[in-house]
Amino acid sequence: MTDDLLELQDVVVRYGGIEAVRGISFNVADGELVTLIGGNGAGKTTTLTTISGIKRPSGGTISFAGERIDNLPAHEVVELGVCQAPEGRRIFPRMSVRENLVMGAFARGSAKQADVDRVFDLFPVLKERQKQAGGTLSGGEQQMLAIGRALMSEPKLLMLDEPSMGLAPKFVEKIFELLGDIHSQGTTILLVEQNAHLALQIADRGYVLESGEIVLEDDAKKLLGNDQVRKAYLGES
Amino acid sequence: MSERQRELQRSYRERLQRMRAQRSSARGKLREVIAKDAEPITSRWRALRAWLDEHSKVSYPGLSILLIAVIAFLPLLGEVVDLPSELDQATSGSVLARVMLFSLFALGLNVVVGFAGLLDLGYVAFWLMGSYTAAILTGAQDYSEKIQQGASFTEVQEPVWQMWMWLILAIALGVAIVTGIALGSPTLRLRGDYLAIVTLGFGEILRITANNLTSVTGGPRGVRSIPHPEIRVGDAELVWGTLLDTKYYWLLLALVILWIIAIRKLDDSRIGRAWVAIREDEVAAAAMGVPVVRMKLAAFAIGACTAGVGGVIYAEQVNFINPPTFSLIQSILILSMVVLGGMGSIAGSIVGAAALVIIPDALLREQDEYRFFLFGFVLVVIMIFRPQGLVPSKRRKAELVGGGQAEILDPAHARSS
Amino acid sequence: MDFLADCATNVADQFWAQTRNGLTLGSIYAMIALGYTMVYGVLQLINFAHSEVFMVSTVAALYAIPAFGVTDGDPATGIAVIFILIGVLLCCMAASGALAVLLERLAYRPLRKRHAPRLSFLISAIGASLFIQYLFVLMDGQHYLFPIRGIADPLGTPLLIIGGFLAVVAIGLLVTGTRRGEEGWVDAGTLAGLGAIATLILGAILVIKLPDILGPTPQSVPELFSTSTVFTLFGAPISNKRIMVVVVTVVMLVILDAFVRRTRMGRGIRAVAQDSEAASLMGVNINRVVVVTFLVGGLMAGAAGLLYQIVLGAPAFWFIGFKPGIKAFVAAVLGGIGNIRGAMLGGLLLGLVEAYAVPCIGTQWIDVTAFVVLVAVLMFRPTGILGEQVGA
Repeated sequence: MTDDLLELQDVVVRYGGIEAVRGISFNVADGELVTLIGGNGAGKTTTLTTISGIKRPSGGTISFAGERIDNLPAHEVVELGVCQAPEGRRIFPRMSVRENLVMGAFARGSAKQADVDRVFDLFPVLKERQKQAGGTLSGGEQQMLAIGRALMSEPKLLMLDEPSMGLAPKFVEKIFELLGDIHSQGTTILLVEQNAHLALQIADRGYVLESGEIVLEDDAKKLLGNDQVRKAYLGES
Repeated sequence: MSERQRELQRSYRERLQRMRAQRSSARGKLREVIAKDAEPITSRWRALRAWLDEHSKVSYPGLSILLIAVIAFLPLLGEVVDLPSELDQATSGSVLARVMLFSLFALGLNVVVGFAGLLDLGYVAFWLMGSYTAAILTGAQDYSEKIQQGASFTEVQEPVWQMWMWLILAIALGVAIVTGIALGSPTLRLRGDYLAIVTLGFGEILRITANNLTSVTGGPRGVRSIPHPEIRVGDAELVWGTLLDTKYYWLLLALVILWIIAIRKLDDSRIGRAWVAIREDEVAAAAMGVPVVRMKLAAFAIGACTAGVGGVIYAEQVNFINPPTFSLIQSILILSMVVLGGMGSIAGSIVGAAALVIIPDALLREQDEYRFFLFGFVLVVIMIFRPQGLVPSKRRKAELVGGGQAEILDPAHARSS
Repeated sequence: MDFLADCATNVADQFWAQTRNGLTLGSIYAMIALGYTMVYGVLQLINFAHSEVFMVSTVAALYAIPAFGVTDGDPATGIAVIFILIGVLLCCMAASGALAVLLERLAYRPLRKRHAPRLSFLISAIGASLFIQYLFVLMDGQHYLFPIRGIADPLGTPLLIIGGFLAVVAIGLLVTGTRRGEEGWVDAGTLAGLGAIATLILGAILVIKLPDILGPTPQSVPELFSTSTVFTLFGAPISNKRIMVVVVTVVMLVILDAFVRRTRMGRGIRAVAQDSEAASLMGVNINRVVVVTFLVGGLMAGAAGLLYQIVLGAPAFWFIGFKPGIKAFVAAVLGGIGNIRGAMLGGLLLGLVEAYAVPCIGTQWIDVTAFVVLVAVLMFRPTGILGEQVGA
């Protein structure tokens, strides 16, 4: 085993007869920020839900810190320190902001005030709204809450699924700035994005996913300069 | 800036649309695949199932006539051959008449539950309406009340059958349909599980009403001396006798055949396809222009009139009815027949009714407790291991095995606990 | 209009007495309704067999009360009443809780694994309900389901003790929750095994012992303590039994509310109700949440069963669960299904409505009230009074 925190090998995921993910392999080393980019239906979200244990792979292996996790139930994967801020944020709409954060620490047991405060330092808006129901927040605030909630579990690996989706550009930049901060404080991050430009700017390495297969992998900076990527994902001709 | 935002918005909307399209097509594929996966692997099973599938819908008229002839001959079997006592009992006219009565009920409920996908737990209410219509219109209720009040048997005339009384069948049919529509129209907009409870409630309300409205229904003492039917044309006469008369079997058999023909026609018609659409996805069906509530009402009314007709024959056959006859357990019994046979399957309804009448009758005579105990068990086991029933309808099977509208949590997400 | 005028005067005459009746009955409805509403919240499923969970508690009372030394014509007195009451209450709750968990395991989980459609769950529930009812009918002493009466006695008492002990341990562990990696805790597999063994043994005891205790025909439950009037409210005497019902209900509801709002497991339940996938991404074990939900609902129904029996002096009757069960469901819908506080409110309201209807329409029509209320609610406010806020 290498010092990879997360390693996928030939992972295949099926929905019935359709292969959404066709044997992908990649790895995330401890302390890295890796991004998976790709268009619609490329299999990005499927990959993440499979790592989280919500979907089961029909082939290949997923290991976390050298231990296989592909047959563990979802809650045990979380207990190992893999936490996801899922696509569409999935805030608990009728819990208060604070309760949502406390839910984030569910796998660890109980949340301490200090943990909540740390998230509040990161996202001061949430502190203002801590008593408000999660469902009443704006889209950007919900995204912050989703990230904050995921951080509450003190993850060894933080996975984010399209944090930019549906947000105003102003918010997107802010959130990516924060992701950079969180990463620089030592959290390993696997970031799934359609907004390739932003994702590659803060990432160390990147993988390009197309129709369930990895078609490119490289340093983020190199990918940014790659012609193919520029054409397909950065909207340049 | 605003230009860019608009751009973003448009691309987002497009992305969303594409996602939706992808999802829905994936879901359709998924269902097919699951249905295929669910096929048993062993060839023996597959052969048996193929046999069942093939024979669940007898499509050759000659074969059907032969089958009907054999079925009609069944009660006479004991006179021709020497049968073991269990079989003799099972093929006696009275047991077979019960089979046919419940076949009729099961056919009717099958339209509601199997075709339209509406869980009706108060089906007995329509049976009650049919039976009480007969009891009141034949004058039996009036007679019972006078006797109850102390009139001597010579003073009041016991009701006898007259030819106009065949009208009662038509009237009861109408009464049941009206009841069905009256109960259905406020409730059919409800979600499926609410509908189950509300129909159950209506069944109970009607039973309680029959019990309390003594002046109309005779209340808890019930109605007796409901006359047996007869047909007189000139000199020819056909008189039905007491409970055990085999002629009831043939009468009910004729009705069942009539109903099978009618229901099969319906199932293959536009209405039948509308029901499938509603069962699969109500919202989508409505969006496609299917008049959802009207179609549901139609299913409800057809089910109701079936039970109404059965109720009339039942009352005339057994001669005596009282409110406890129409308890919830009867609704559940009929539902068990539909489920056991296979929801949505016409042949299944008959097989289910036959199985649940004959088996307990032959094996556990006069032990209702064992029967209901076993019914309960069978319902759970069938739902777990063979939700499509013994004689599945092809259309329904794919849905039941493939998941349909399943939204209940999958325990595989968190297996150890 | 005569009817309405009569009705008004009658209700005015009996106002306090009927309020008292309504509140007691409503408390019981509320407790049963919680089971429906919580299960609905987590699984979007109406647990049709919940009325049997309630029924089992009344059966448990049949033998738990004599087991504490209270026999017919010899009710408990003094301070002993409280201890015996608590003891019997725990027995009844354990029986109902165990049945609820068993139901989930046997009648629902296999269907969940298969992604069965909703209709299948309902039918399975009806089947389970029928099965349980007639299981008890068969055990009423006239028909022995299992001809093992002879060996019952020498084994019965030790089994009762061991089974009870295991059940308490299993339920305790289940509620406190176990986690991997924490030392000194039993892991989930062992826990499930323990629970299964305990319920099996308890079930066996029920099956074996019950006919002996009941004799050939169902007996009425011995009176736990004798009725006395504690005070009079505007001419309506309030008995100690009614006070007990309200006190027990309030205590249980407060505990439940705190459990759901303040504890980790309670938060888990609410999270699953609001978004099950997100909940499992937070590390919530959904299966355990489902089991605990059924268990908690069962415990509440168990308490309700005993109270129902004490206050109404109802005989043990295998179909006793049907009416309160169906009315509690109405109460849950009335308050807004899935909404825990709604169930409490709905229960009390339905109890009061029924009680006030008595002087108007008479007792023989009273069972119609609940259904009329149900249809009215569903037609005019299908989400109930407090709204269908699943997991709120």
